[in-house]
Amino acid sequence: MIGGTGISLGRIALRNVTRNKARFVMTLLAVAVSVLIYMTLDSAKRSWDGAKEVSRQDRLVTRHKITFVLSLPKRYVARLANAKRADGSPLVESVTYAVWFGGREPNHEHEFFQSLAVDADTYFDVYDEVTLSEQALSDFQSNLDAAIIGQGLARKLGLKVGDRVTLESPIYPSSSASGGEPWSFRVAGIYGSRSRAVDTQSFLFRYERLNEALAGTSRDQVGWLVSRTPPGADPQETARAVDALYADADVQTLTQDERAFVSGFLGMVSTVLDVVTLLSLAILVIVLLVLANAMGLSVRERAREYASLKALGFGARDVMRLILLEGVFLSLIGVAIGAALSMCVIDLGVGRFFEENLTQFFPVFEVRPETLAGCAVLSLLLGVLAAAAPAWSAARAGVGVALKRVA
Amino acid sequence: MLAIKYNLRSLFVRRLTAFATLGGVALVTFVLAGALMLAAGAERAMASGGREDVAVVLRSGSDSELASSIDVQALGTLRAAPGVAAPGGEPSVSPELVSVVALPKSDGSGLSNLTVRGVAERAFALRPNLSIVSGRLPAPGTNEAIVGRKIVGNFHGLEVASDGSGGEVLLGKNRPVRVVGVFQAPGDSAESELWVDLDAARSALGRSGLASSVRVGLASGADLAEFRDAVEGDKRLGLDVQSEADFLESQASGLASFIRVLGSLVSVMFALAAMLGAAITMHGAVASRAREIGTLRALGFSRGKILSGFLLESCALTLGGALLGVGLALPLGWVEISMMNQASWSEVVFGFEPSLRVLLSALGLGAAMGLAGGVAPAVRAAWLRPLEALRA
Repeated sequence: MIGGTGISLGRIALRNVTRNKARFVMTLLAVAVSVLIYMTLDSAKRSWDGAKEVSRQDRLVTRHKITFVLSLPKRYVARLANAKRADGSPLVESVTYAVWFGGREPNHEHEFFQSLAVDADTYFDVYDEVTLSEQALSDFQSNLDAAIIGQGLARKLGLKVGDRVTLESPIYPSSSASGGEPWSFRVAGIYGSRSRAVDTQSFLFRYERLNEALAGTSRDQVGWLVSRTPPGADPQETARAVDALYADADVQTLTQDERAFVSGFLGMVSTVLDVVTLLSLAILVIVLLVLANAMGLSVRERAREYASLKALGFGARDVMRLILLEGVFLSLIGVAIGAALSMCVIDLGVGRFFEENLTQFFPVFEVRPETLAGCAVLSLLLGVLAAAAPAWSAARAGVGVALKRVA
Repeated sequence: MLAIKYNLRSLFVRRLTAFATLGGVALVTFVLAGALMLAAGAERAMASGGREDVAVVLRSGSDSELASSIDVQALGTLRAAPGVAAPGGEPSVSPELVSVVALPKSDGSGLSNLTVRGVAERAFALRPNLSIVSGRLPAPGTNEAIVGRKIVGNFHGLEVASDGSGGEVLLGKNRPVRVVGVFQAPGDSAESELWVDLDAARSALGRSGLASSVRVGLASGADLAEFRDAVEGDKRLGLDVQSEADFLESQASGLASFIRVLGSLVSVMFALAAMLGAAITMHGAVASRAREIGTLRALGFSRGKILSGFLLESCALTLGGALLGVGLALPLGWVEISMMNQASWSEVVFGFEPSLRVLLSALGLGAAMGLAGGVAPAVRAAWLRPLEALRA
C-alpha cells in the first residue's frame, strides 16, 4: 500500500505495463520469439544429454580397434559367443553382428537412412525392443532377398510389405554395369520399436546376401559385433573382457557401450552443443536489451509522473520498487507467452520431427519441467536487470529537474 | 530531407534506449558474421589449394577417398593414359591410401578420428605448396611420418621434439610410425592429416595392393577432359576422374554449407527480436517527439521528408549496431577450431575467415532490420496531423 491510499504498487505497475499498447505488444512479441528460440535450443541440449538415460547400458558394440573403416573377421562372432567367465557362465548373453552398407535409394536421393547387412537369426534377440510379426521374421530368416525396414523409413520411402526396392552403395558397388546383380530386395516386414533407444529408420537385409557377392579378403568380414551383458554383470568390465579375448590376435578390438559407439561418429556434436550454449546466452542478452529498451522508454516518458509522486511525498524507494515491478511484470508476461508458444511448437511439431528423424541423438525431444523452471527464474532476473538502470536514475532524479525535463 | 544532424542527435539524446537497440543488433550481426566467417574459413582451409592440372581418381560411385578403393593393377592403365605429365620420363601418378584411425586426444577428452594418408615419394611432387616447417621429410620406405601443422599436438604422440626425435603413433598392432616432421600445405585439408609411407600404411592397415585414390599430374589443366574420357570411358576400370580443385571443394562444401545455413537461420530468427527492439526505440522516439514533428510539418517539411528522416534515423541505429557486431567478430580471425567433417569422418581444423562478403552480408542484415523496424514508426510520424501534434 502506498501511504494508505488503498492503491497497491503492484496494481499501478501492472497498469503501467499495458499503458502504451503498441510498445507493449512489440515487446511481448520480441520476448516471445526469443523465448521460443531459447527453449528450442535448451530442449535440444537436454534431449541430447538425456539420451544417456534412454540408451541401453547392457548392449556393447565391438569394432576394429584402429578404425571403424576396417572390418573384423566373422570368426570373432563365434569366439565371443562361446567365451566364458571365470565362474564358467557365458561372458555375454547374446551376440549378433552387422555390416554398414551405406545404401541409398536412387528414387529418394536425399533421404538419409542407415542400411545394414545383419544376421537374421540373432539380430532381433539382441535388439529385443524391436517389434516384428512372427510371419515377417520367419520370412526374413528363410529368404535371402528379404529385407526388414523400420516404420519411419517405410513412411519416408512410401514402401509396404511385398514391395521391391533397389539400393545403391558406394562401398559395395553392384557392378551392374558389367553384368552383376543389382542390390534388389523384397520388403518382408516393417518393424516398430518399444523403446526410444532403437530408431525405426533402418533398412536391414541378410548378411548372406552381401557376403556371397564378395570375394577375396572382403569375404567373411563383419563391420561390428553387438552383444548383451548378462543381468548383474558390469558393462565396463565386460567390455574390457571382450577386448582381452582378441588382445593377441592380428586384429584387435574396441568395445564400448552403444551410446559411446554412436557418439564416436559425431565428434561434431559436442562442438555444435557448445555453440548452442553460446547462442542461448546470446538470445538471453538480446531479450535483456529489448526489455531494457522498453523500460527505458516508459520511465523516460513518465519522468514527470514519478517526479509528481515524489512531490506528493512518495519516497525514492517507492518509485524504484514501482519501476522494478513493472519490469518484472513485462518480462513475466512475455516469457509466459513465449513458453506457451514453445510448448505448442515443440511438443506438437518440431520435437516429433527430431524424435522420428534423429532418434539416436534426440530420443525424447520435449519441453522439460527443468526448462520451464529455468525460464521462470530467468524471467524474474531479466525483468529486474532490465528495469535496474531506469529505476535507479528515476529514483535519484531531483523533483524539480524531472518536472522540467524534455520528454 | 531533414537535416541529418537532427535525426542523429536525437539518437544521442535517448542514449540508453538507443544503446540497448544498438547492442541487440550488434549481437545479431556478430552471430551472422561469425557463422559466415567460419564457413569461409572451412572452405579456405580445405579447398582453396586444389589444382586444376592435377586429377583425382576415385572408384566409380565413391564420393570420398575413404569409401573408395582402387586395385593397383589399374595404375598401369592410368600411367599410359593421354594427358599425363611425365617429368624425367616417369609418369606423374601417385597412389594414396587414406584411412582414419582412432587415437587418444592429447587433452584427455578420449578418442577421436585422425585421417592417415599413405603416400609414395611422387605425392610430394604433385603438391608444390607442401613444405616442411619443422623437422624433415620422411625417408621413403621407412616407418617415418610427417604431420600437418594444424593438428600438431592435438593427438597423443603427434609432435616433434627439438632434438628431432619424434613421438610415436601406433597404426596397428606393433606397427608404430615415428613423427619426424611437421608440414604445411595452405588450402588443403592435408594440414589436418598424418602422412606415412604408402607401404607402411598398407601393411599396418592390412590393405596390400590397394589404394584409396590416385592423384595424377597432367601436362596442363586443358588435358583433364582428354584424360577423363580415356579413364572413365574404360568401363572395366570402374573409375571416376575429377580435378583436384573440384574434389577438394566437394569435400568441404558439406561442412561449409552446414555452418552457413545453420548460422543464417539462427541469425535471421535473432534478427526478428532485434528488429522489434529497433521498432520499439523508433516508436518511442516518434511518440515523444510528436510536438517537434508537428512543428516541422508546420514549417513546411513534407511527409516524404519526415518519413525518410525517421527511416534514416532507424537505419543509422541498426547500421551502427551492425558495424559494431562485425567489428567484434573480426578478432575471431585469430581463433581456430576443430570440427568433425562428415565427408571424411575425421577432424579438420580451421579458422574464421574475414571477407568483404561477410561485411556486406552483415551490413545488409543491419540495414534490413533498420528498414523493417523503422517503417511503421516513420509512417506514423509522417502522417501525424500538424495541429493535433502541436497540441499534444
